[in-house]
Amino acid sequence: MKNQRIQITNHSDRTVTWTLERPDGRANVIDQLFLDEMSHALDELEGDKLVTALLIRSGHPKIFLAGADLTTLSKLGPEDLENLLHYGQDTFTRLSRVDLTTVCAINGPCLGGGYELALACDRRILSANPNAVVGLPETSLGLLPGWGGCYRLPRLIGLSRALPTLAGGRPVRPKKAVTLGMVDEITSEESLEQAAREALDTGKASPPLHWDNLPIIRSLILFLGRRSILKITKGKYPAPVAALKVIGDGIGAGLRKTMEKERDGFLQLSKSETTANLLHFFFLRERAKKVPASQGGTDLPTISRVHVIGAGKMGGGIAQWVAARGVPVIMSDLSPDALSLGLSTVSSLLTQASKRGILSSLSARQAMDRITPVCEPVPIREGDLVIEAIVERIGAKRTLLADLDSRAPVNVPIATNTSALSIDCMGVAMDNPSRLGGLHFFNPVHRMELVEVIHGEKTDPATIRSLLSFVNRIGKRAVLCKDSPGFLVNRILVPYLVEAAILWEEGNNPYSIDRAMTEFGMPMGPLRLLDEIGLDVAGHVAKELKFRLPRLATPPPLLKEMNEQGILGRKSGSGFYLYPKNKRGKLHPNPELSRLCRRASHKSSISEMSDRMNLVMLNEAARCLEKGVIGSPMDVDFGMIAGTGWAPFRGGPLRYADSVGARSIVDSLERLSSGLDERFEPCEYLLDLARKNKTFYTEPLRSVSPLSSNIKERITQ
Amino acid sequence: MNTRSLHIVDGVRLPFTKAGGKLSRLSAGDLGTAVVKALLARTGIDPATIDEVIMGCVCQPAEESNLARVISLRSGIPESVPARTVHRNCASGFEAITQAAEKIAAGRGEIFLVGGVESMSQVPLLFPKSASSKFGELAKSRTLGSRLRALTGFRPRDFSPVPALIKGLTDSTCNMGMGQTAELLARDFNISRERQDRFALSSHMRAIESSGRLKDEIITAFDYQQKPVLEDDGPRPDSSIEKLNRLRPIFDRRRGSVTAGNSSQVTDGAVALLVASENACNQYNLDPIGRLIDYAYSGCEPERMGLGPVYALAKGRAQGAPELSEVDLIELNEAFAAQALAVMDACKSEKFCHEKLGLEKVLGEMNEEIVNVNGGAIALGHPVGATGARLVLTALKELRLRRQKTALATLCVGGGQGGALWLERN
Repeated sequence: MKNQRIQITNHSDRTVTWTLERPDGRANVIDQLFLDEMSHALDELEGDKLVTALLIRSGHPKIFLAGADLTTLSKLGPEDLENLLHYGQDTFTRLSRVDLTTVCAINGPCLGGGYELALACDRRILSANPNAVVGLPETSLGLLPGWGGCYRLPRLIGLSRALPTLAGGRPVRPKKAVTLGMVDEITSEESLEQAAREALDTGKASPPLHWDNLPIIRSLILFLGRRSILKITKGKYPAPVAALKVIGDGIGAGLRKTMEKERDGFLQLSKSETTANLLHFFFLRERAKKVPASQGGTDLPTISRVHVIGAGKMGGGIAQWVAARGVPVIMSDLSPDALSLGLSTVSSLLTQASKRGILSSLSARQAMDRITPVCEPVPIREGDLVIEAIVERIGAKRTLLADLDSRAPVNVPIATNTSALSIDCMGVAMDNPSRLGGLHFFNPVHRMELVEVIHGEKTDPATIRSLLSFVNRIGKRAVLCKDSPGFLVNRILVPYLVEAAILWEEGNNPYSIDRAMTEFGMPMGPLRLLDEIGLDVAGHVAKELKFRLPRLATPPPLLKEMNEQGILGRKSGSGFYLYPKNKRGKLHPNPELSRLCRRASHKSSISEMSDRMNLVMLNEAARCLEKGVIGSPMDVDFGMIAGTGWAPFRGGPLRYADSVGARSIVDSLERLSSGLDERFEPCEYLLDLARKNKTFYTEPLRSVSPLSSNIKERITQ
Repeated sequence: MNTRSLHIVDGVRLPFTKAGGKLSRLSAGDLGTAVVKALLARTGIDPATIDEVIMGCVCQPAEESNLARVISLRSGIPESVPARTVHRNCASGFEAITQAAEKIAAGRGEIFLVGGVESMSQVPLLFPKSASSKFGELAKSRTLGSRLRALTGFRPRDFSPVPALIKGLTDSTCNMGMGQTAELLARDFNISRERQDRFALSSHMRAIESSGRLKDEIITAFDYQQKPVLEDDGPRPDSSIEKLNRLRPIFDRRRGSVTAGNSSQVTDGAVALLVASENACNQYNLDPIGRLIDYAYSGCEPERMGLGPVYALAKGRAQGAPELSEVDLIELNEAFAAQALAVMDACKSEKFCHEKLGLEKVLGEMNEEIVNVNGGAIALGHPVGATGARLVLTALKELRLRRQKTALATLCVGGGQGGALWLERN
């Protein structure tokens, strides 16, 4: 029977080649079958005295070995999981001990279990292709490397280098990988095979000695490492600390002992709520990568060029991102000065990216070359996509859209980048509103993974499919929302931010308001976030939202007052906090604000505040489902985590709501609404869940998601 | 009429800016890419339909070998479209157009992207020849002793650089700088310093007056910091006869009359034109601004290269090209005021036409009223490889504004040549 995971070829020159390849052409991942085939192959090698070397390569054009098959892994019970861990550890250990020179020729992502396999070999040769990343990202999923990675990595590269790699969970690009010693050599893609074959003659490797693995020094490194991890995770993410402990204990101990600790650590973590939530988010993201299949009817042509109209901050950001992803851009605005601003935005983002090693300076120039600035209307072709990113004024947008509609060929989709205006309202200006959809990019575009794709009443499914595939193609992830006030993210976020401002007006200290939410797990407190967004932008969105959803809390007069005084947040130097130039470190509250409006002096407790801010969010999130703004709780959770950094370890607002229970949420809301305001009145959807004692999610994500088959996991974008 | 003639669909150029000035940090490739991208966007043409990219450039940069290919790829034109860089000194921009015309005539392609690019700012400094052979020795020496010997061979003069621009503007066959050839013409035709200065002043005045008219052919350039550059910076609103008069001759300091003020300016610039056969215009629904009806290149004495246009016109007459009396507009490149004036004088001189060109009838008068109505290279600058294409672009745009029919674009070429293109508005 032909192998399904590893194809074996024997060469006359006493080398054996394992080609990781699946007959169905899918991405290489490690599952039970993979380990079975590997184990059989090792049986043969161990019995063969003639063979002197083993080359492991991938038959997949882009991927070496993307790690463990998380879909099956996440379904295993504790006992099966432990068996699988044991099996993997033993098989990899056999590979490391086999009496041959073993070399991996790594052509693409080699992550998690895949890199643990590579670690068990004598040499690792990596293609210099920037997609060929290596590393152990398990901790970012709340797990730790469970197939010997904790034992082998610090022995290969030394504790001081292994620790950040393991705890950070970030994939490492080729240049850095060779500097760190995670691979032995990088070479051009074309000479990868040859370089690997040359390495077959070098004999077995003996691990180098690392000064940082010596007893006293390693205790110091572990102590400092632990401290810096805790500073970043704030104790919310147990995996990096657990990984540190396994490594720390393992470095002085033997293989068997360390493997045992690794297994224990892994099993322990896999039981935790945090890990389940992080995996949940991982699956949410995988789900977002899939564009729904054609809905029948004719599909629009593939997008080959993008017109970005409006070279402001959003327009510039979008143009940069799209161009850097290889799609030509026509950037248009009314004046050369406006274009100049847009081009500067693009150019400084590209410079940053190339300084950080994300792009080579050549790729940065190529991206810049893909942008053509124009300040006159230019012809729109078939295969173009038009993204409008001009000022958020309905009149201006309508005029522009009418003009675009009259000029663009019928099968060119037109997208509006709006955060608050209605797609349907804009569409009335067009003869053909079925080609209009919303693409709500978040600011800053290059940092925010999420794009809300908005469909209006008249939007054609082909338009939406085209927009969804486009979003995916440029490496962003979409949620599909119905045209409605604030769409998904702002609709949930704005009431939360308004609530924070109300708490401030009631007399609470900005620090405590922000702390209430950072302790909950938000990356940034709400007032800090308001400062980042800008009080003008936030004020505009809040006003628009309140206008269209009168039931929401009235934004406190403070926000308007701040706008009028030019206190716009970070960009103006002061907001709720002060932002003196060239100063980092602790922020100080802005004393100006108390003079701007009357403040009460009622202080709430941290938990009271976090409850209030959370409850308005959960209530609004439920309402999004009630009103059909989005299709499922998964969209809410993915949108909020990817779009706002909403505490990932809690799995998203609705998964969090499920863990609290609808009953208890409704009770809390009712308690608040009687005491305060109608804004806390629980929505029908929540009340219904509470009455029927149901949850938002009807079953765990891994089984409802379309991920039942293997997917290209862990390929970080 | 010949159905395989070349039609100019549209064209754009960057503002011409003084060398060492606003766009000096951009390479020839950067300039060319900017102008080609803008033309592609403006015409909306699918770049895959282009048969070849042909660009003229005189000082072809060492780091952007086959500049046209560099520009083509950087502008997003598919890899399958070939590209070549052409060189006929100052007529390189013409050469790009006429090579496309020949290909169209031969049925070897329908759509071409042509033009000219020159970054005179980035023309490098060279090591003298003496130094390069010594560097060669040094590179070859392997032992410490031989290296030391090679090193001690260097002399201070080996390190004094030679500006390649000066070399480029010197004709090695007659060992004369371009300015010196202009001095020669001033003497031959007895062209006074004052007449030259008046001509130069008129070039500036016309350029200033018509700066609005040129808007349509100029796109905004963005410098290396993305700051916009909107207009040509050569024309001087404050120029006057007195000021021009105060300048010292630079090519013949004692008896000369050619000054920096009555010579063309050293400039960076780029021009791109989309040209196509009549068939292609119909097929892709292109609305051309004009077409090429005839052209001629001719050789002449290198020492009097400035008279090149006259020889080209004579050749044109033999081919049946329109007579000077039949053209509505003339773009005569102003390499030097003395040179342009000499061309005008020679055209109407019976003696010259008879003796040098063997013509019975003079070529005719170039009416100053219709010569360089928007100013010429003395005001706008002369980015050598790009100028030819600019003359064609400006002539066609101006014909359209004047609703007139026929134009002549002509220029002199270092090394003793002249080029002339006859154009007609569609």
